[in-house]
Amino acid sequence: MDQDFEVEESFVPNLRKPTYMIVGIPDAGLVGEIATEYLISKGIVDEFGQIYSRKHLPTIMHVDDGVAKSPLRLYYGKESNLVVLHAWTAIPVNSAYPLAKFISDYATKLEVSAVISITGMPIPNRLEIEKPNAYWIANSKELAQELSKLDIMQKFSQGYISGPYAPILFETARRKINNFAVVVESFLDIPDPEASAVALDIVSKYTGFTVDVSLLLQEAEEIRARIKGLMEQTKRELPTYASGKPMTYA
Amino acid sequence: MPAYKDLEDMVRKAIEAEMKRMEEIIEFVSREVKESMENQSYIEPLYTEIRRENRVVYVLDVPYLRDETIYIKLEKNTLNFSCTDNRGTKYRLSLRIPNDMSQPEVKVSRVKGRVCLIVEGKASK
Repeated sequence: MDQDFEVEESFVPNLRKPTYMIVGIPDAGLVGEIATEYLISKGIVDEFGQIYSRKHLPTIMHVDDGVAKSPLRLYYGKESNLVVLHAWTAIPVNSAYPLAKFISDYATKLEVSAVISITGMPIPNRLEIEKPNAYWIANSKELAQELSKLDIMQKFSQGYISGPYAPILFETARRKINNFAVVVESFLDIPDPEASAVALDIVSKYTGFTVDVSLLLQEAEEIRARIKGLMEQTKRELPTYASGKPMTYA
Repeated sequence: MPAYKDLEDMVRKAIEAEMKRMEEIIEFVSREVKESMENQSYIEPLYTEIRRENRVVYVLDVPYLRDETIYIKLEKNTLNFSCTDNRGTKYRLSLRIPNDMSQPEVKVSRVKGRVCLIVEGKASK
């Protein structure tokens, strides 16, 4: 295990095959962040581990029910058989590669079938579209062929992906771990729970575990009010990833 | 004596001028303090900016917005926005409009719970 990051697990999840690891890190529209936080808040997954790094995490602790915890935590759902890695704070650009390496190592340890990243793709006419489109980006030809057969999202043919999910695609590919990013059209710098709902719906169909996203849509306004501070923090961090370019663009 | 009176007048005028200057300083400082205290009670909403030809769209995220509190004023190249949500939080935002936009006009709408400010300049002939 990479010593850059340390894990403290309160129990070791008893995983069935296939196992999926969903990653939610703040970036465009907080699409992934809102999606994984929804799984946590609805009790679909429960906390089982904290990830520490003196070197790569900002000096921030997430206070949960009066207890200070690492802002990077692991969750597991017995019924859903999902492992979730959720970041409660924006990840500095210099930590992105070490974190991606840690995720690859940990996914290897848990023998997960695929790491699923959820991210947003900022588009200028986001406000005008009723339901945002979703795309996939795979880390291997084999996985791309498998995803091509699905009709729940389209292939992101040509372009770029930057931000915290880009090094995860790279590091997992090196370790021969399946990883794909679910990329949903979104706002760049305002929270987009509607895009998160689209992403969760896709994850739900892919993994076979049904996640009811109707509550997420009902609670969208409350989520936007609650998550404002994190969006501001992420907004300051995002330009360092891509020199002013949006996170994913064609 | 005329010479003595002139000197008294000169001193009085100097004192009056100094007092006027002091009053102006006090007024300026009071205004600054008041403005600063007012600004502290406001928070800036999250917003995104989309630039198109002769048009800028600002999408502002104000959850639980009270529509009737929206206030917009366009002054020279600055668009001032303020509003209050139904929890009593006051929002304020000043946006710089591109200098090359001639005779800009602002349209306001609510779309999917967000405030949409469309600033459009007159098309050049």
